[in-house]
Amino acid sequence: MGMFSVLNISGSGLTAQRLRLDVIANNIANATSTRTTEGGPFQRSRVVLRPINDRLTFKSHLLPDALEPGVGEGVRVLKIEKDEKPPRMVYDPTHPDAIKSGKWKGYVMYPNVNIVEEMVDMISANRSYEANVTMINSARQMFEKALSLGK
Amino acid sequence: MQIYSRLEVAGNQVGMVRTSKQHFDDRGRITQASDDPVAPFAQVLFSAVENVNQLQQNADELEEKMAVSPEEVDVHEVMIASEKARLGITFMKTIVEKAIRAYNDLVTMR
Repeated sequence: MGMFSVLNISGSGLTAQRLRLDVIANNIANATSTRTTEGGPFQRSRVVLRPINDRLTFKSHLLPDALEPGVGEGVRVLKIEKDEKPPRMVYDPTHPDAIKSGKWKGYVMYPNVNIVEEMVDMISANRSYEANVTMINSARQMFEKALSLGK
Repeated sequence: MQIYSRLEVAGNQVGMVRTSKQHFDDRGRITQASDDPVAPFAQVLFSAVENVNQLQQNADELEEKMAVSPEEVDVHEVMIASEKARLGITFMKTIVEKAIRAYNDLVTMR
């Protein structure tokens, strides 16, 4: 492990949580967007995260289970995927995007964004960010304590 | 006598002439490291100082980027880079102080 491995790992965590917050903000901003370029209402998007390095490393040829997971190098964003939940149907015949015919005549398809859910996600991202910052501060204090050994 | 190379000017970075006989060798390049795995202590020390300097430069670069195009760089990246630079400097300072103290101990031996 390098001298600043904790800083690198927590930094990747901070970046990931910032991206999550951006996506949540976009969801909330588009909570009433009934049109998109792909047609249909806006769909809520989610961030999918995965570890940067979760490969098994070779520890020793004397161990029966010589392949063991290493410490890891942080988190990275795998993709931003769309949530495929059905849209919210709201009855509003005067809306320009109202459905013209069929069973759902007069209904408007609103995005499948639930504001409460987004708020919970927002707090979660916020707290994760704080946790990563706390981790960095703790690593820094450890480093400085180690330097004070020789005083 | 010209000490900088006109071919190696990029922005505010100026390369030095490396073909003078006063420099490394007159072939104009630094001698290759040998296969000996044991590096002299001075070289280890200099490469450590070089690493610290690299940390400083990374932090400076990120701060410049922050000022020029704030869209491209996150706040925490800048903070982490400058923190790394600060810790590196602190570490180097501590090591240098210890080395000097050891030297003084040797010098004042009676």
